[in-house]
Amino acid sequence: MGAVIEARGLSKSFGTFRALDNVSFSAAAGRIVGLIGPNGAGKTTALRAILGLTNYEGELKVLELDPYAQRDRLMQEVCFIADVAVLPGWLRVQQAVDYVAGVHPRFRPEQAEQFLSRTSIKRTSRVRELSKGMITQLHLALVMAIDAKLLVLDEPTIGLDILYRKQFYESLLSEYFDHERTILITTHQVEEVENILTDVLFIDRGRIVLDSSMEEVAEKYLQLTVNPDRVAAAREFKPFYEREIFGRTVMFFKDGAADGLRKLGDARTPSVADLFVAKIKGAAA
Amino acid sequence: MNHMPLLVRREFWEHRSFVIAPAIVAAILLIGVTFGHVEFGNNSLDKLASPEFASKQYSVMTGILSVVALPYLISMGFLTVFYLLDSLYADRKDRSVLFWKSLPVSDRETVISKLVVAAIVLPLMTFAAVLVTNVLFSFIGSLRLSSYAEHVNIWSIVWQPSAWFSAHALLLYSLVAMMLWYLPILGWLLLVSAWARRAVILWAVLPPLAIIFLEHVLFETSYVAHLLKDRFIGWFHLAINTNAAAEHAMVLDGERIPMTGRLIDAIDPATFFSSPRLWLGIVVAAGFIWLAILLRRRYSET
Repeated sequence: MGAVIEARGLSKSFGTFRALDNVSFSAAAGRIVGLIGPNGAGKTTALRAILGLTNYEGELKVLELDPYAQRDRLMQEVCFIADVAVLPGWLRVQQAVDYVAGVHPRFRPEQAEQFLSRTSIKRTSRVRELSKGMITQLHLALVMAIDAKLLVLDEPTIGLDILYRKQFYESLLSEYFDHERTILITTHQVEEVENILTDVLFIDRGRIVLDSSMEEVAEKYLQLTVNPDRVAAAREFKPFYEREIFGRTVMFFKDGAADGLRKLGDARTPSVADLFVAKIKGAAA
Repeated sequence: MNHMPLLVRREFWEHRSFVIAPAIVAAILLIGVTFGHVEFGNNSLDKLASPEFASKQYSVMTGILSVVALPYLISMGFLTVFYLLDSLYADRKDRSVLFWKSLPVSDRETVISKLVVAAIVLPLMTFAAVLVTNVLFSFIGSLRLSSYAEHVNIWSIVWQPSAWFSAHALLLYSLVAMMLWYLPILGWLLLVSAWARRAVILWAVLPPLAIIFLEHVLFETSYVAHLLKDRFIGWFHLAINTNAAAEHAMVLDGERIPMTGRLIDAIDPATFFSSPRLWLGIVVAAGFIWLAILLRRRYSET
């Protein structure tokens, strides 16, 4: 199967501010891609372009469709939760289910019922009567009952307590994800999604700073924690970022699989969060 | 797949005032007719029932049945204006537009559904509410009046089929004429609702007022003001031949009552539908609605 998302030279400006600056990337079917970046990096703009919520310059195809011009057709194949707590307060739970069932040909009401039955949400409640966590649960129940090819989640677990967050990602993997579906996630809680991602896309100041599969990350990047006496020797291998922690120096290397290097300290594959900080700060230095 | 019935239902979920407002009007009217004080001077009821007034019984009854529509029309007017201003604005304000846009409903369908509610569903509901009120109103009224004047056959005056037909045909015709005539106003309200980031009411009202003011200051003319005035009241003289109606004004108790009695004979669809002003308005309305759809496509937070 071809690329689910294909962006070439994607740009979007607000006045003189370039929220997306000539960005190119693609996401293949069956991947779980984490779009990671600091606030204001262009994550939301990129997601909105992909979802047909904003116009843009450059070329963008999502499932072979032009998102802005064909949003309604695209939404038959794509579902998204862009920010939490956007269900309107006046809507009743049952009305939400009925509405989605009425407009979405790929919605399976019995699936939504099954998700909802695991919560304490009453069908007759209005959204404004639910807690923030319950609203998110309702939204997820609606979205996960849609048999879509691409699922886009923007900060899906904000407002959920820790127990439900874990459960959410577990059910996402075990019940929703199969190898034909693609999931695009942005989150601040990188640690939480780290072990379910197959690909990462780092974005900073409107540009892609890393586009890589997790296997490639493990092959290419090395995090080395070095004692003070070995720091000079390790620097010979040209780390792209380093920082001090408890008197030791943590160094990040690209293409640094050299055996000599590994012997200088404690070597490991960097976590996505650490690699992200290293990439952003390393590029700024 | 045709989403329109569900989209219209959605509007009723959100706007319970569609049902509450006419229910309040109905309650007030029915309480009034049930418990209100009845008094007739100079045996006017007897007079009305007498043979020389036979031809006016129809007029009186058509008038009463038509007047009942007024409070409903006024309440519908307010409902429609506030509904349309809210329709493409409220969900941007509470950000639920992100949820609605995550579903396979086009922005064109969304905007059209709001227009369908305002221009077709609410007027039809108003018509139905008036009809139901008139039936209850007349039933209660006949009961009360027949105990008041037993020798007069109230029932035959109140339940004249020709009066009932006239009053309700006139109402239906007026609703159609009004809605077509007001389409550019409805379109303007939709456009403001899709565009404004705050203070929708001010954005709806101030630009036209500003243009009128500028025209007055710069050119000392008032074409825009006349244009807008015509847009609010012009339908009546086009759709209804008021000269024909005036001939049927009636005199009762020495007072001249400017009765709408035989307005049904005065409806003038030929003049109305052949008026270039009507069709020009519809073209302008189409332009406003098209712009509203374009703006709706572009997601913007308030």
